[in-house]
Amino acid sequence: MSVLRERAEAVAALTGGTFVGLEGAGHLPQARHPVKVNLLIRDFVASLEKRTP
Amino acid sequence: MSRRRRALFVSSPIGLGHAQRDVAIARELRQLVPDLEIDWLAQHPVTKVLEAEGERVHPMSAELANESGHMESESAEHDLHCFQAWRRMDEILLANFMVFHDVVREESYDLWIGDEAWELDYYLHENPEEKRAAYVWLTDFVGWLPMPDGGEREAFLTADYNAEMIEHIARFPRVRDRALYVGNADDVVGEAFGPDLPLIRDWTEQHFDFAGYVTGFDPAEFGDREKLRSELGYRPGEQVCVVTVGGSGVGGHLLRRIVDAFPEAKELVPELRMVVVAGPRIDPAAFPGLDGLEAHAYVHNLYRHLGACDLAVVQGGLTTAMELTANRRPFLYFPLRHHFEQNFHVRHRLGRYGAGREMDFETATPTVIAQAIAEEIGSEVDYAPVETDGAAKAAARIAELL
Repeated sequence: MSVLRERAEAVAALTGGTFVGLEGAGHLPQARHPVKVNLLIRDFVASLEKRTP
Repeated sequence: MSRRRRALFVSSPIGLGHAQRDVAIARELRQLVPDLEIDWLAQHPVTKVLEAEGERVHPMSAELANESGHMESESAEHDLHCFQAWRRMDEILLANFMVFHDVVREESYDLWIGDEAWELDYYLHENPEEKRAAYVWLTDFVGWLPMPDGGEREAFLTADYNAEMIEHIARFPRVRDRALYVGNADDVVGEAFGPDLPLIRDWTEQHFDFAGYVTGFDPAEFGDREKLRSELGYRPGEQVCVVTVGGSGVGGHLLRRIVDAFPEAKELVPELRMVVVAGPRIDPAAFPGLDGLEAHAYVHNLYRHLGACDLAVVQGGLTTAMELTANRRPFLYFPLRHHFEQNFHVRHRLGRYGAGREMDFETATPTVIAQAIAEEIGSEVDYAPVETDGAAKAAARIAELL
């Protein structure tokens, strides 16, 4: 596992987030994998809606 | 199991051409699969045709980002660089794919049909795991081609796009369950996809089924042409010239040029009646009121008028030109400048049929147009015949998936 990935996963764990790796996405995942990114954002927003305040 | 079979038809909104043929294919498909329910994901101006035909336009269609408006915004005087315009439309195509995705996430369809639905085809190949139904791709041309004045840069880009498409199909052959070419193998251009890439015709023959041309009508159903003319309100002896430039607003300059040619044409052909179809996006009130000249915003079943006319003046779009070819009517056509499909693919196909007289917007002054109208109106034609079973053939191949 690369150091970068390890760090990313650690940040996700510490912040209660979810780490998602997009292979070959480069610096612009929203441009290289726009459908995937849109769907991830939608799922993320949906997960917040389910939370009770 | 009582679940009805359902199909979602995604019809390209760029021009009105696809709508008529898609309706014809849908009609044939229902004959073969009587319980089939078809929803349409489409936008203006295609929805206008669908509504007139009583088809069910899915309410989510209202969420689609406007493609023909973008094409118009990219156009200049009788000029549409459609490859570049398409390249600059990626945010619209993506948004529309997401609308499609929302629809098929909420509702179950057995089959998706995309007629030049570029966003659907491209993003399905980019995200093959999102494919959840049988999928049919329809097109009437294969291969982006560079315009000569685009130089090396454009040649590089079109080859690159073609290479990506070839790679998509090779990597995920299961995405397209059927790929149907609307036409015959001879209609495919002789060029290669680019340097070191296959010949377009060879590749298309390997990867497509050929439906033959789909006109959406049988000229024989018109019966007697004189009867059709009288039904449409054309008097005997009148020389009817129908002028139409498709559903987008791009054709405005050509329409005005042809209207400018009307007085001279009327002098040469005293019985001339010019019927200008402005389309839903051009205001017909902008044209002058002259004796023998009339303008309409929209004409339902325009193909009947094209079947009845003595001459048509059109852009270089495939559908209208082929309707005229099938109806064996003489016509003048003006390919849009920088529109590779009209300048290469359509021209090649019309050449094969020996149909139409090609005009150059650059050099066609009102005098040149008036003379061409006078020379061609009412003339006999010698076109190769157009098959009338294309819709049925396409539907038969699609029905195999249901």
